Amino acid sequence: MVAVVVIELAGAYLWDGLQLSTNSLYNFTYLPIYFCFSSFLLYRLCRPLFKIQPWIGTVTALIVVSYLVENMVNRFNALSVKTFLLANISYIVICCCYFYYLLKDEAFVDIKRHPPFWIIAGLLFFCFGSTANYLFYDILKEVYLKHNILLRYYLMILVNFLLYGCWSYAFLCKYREMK
Amino acid sequence: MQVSRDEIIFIVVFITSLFLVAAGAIMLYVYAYNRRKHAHIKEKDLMQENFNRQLLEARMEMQEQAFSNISEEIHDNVGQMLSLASVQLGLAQSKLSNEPLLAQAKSNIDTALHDLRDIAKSLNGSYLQQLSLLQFIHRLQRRINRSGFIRIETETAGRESALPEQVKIIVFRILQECVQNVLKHAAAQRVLIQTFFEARHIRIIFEDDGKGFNPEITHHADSRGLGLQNMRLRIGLIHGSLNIRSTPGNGTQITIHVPYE
Repeated sequence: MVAVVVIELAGAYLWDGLQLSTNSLYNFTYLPIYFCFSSFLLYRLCRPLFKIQPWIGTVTALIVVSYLVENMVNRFNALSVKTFLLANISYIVICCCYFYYLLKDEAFVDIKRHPPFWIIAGLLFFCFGSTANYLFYDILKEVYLKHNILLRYYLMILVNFLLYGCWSYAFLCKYREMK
Repeated sequence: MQVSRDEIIFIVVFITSLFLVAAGAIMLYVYAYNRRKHAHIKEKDLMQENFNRQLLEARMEMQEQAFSNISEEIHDNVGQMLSLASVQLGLAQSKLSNEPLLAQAKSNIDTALHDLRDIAKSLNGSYLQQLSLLQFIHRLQRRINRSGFIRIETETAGRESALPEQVKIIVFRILQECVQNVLKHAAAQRVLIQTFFEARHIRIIFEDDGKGFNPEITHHADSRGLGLQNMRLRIGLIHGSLNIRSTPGNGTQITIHVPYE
């Protein structure tokens, strides 16, 4: 979270202060952190329910290859949108697998008070919301450049609100569990 | 075809909303399915509990039947033979003009016959059901005290209220199991049975001054472990509770709560 805040502040400074593109900043700091953190999170939370290692291994390999290829094609200037989409779709599939195995598991968990469920739920909302957003990345960029409408920005705020809302609730559940 | 700015905004917002609704729908489905799963697990547990209860009831019924058969056998066969032997010894004694050895043999046979009848009665469920809890405890006290192995003392507080017959027989069997355990394992000198008739339940405290044991490491496989397990299962049948407090060297205290309903 601290890393995301620092990157966002740096991005705002680059764009507003120095009038420079933030693509490289997001490409080389935010995206690797996002991929690593999300993969690690899914690995840790799904591990007790099913064999996640082959899935995470395959997804990570695909993301790394896609990230390198896309950056080489774009000459390290544009945001790796396709890699981001690929990662998000993979994460959605893993989140759905988590839900499937959670329901299949013989032991009952009260999901209203189950922290891992809310962490995964937040990630699912974020992946779904940002996937739709990145699908129209070029159109939204054009809307911004032509009409100065920050639609993508507002949609990302909504998606982030859902993500951090779910995660905050997960921490609250964890706190109650530890009490 | 040229798409207007508003149309683009609408399409993007609509598709993003659709994606978010899809995520929400997945969550709702998981939640609903989980609730169904919970209901199913609860139902399964209830069925398992009912099955266990029925199994236990059937086992107890069979045990009661076996006890009754043994009791009848003792009364009709061994008891008759001993009665006959006692009468014959009485006749022999009168013919042999008060032979002391015969008198002693007759006295021994009469004591054995008395004890045997007591055992037969304590095994016979139909007979026990005619007794009240206090009558049963006093009978148990008399029988054990007569044997001279240990001394049973009793204390009572409150007015005795009648228990349903099925409940009564379960409580009697638990108390018999307690005495059996003391005789077999405790090496006790003294047992105190306190009975408190309270508003909603009967509290029975069964206390001995024997060698005690660690209730947490009693194995289910040994006879005491099985006895305790049986006592717990039986008390569960009547929605009562059983609490065992014991430490090696300091005796054992068993508290039994028997609800009236």
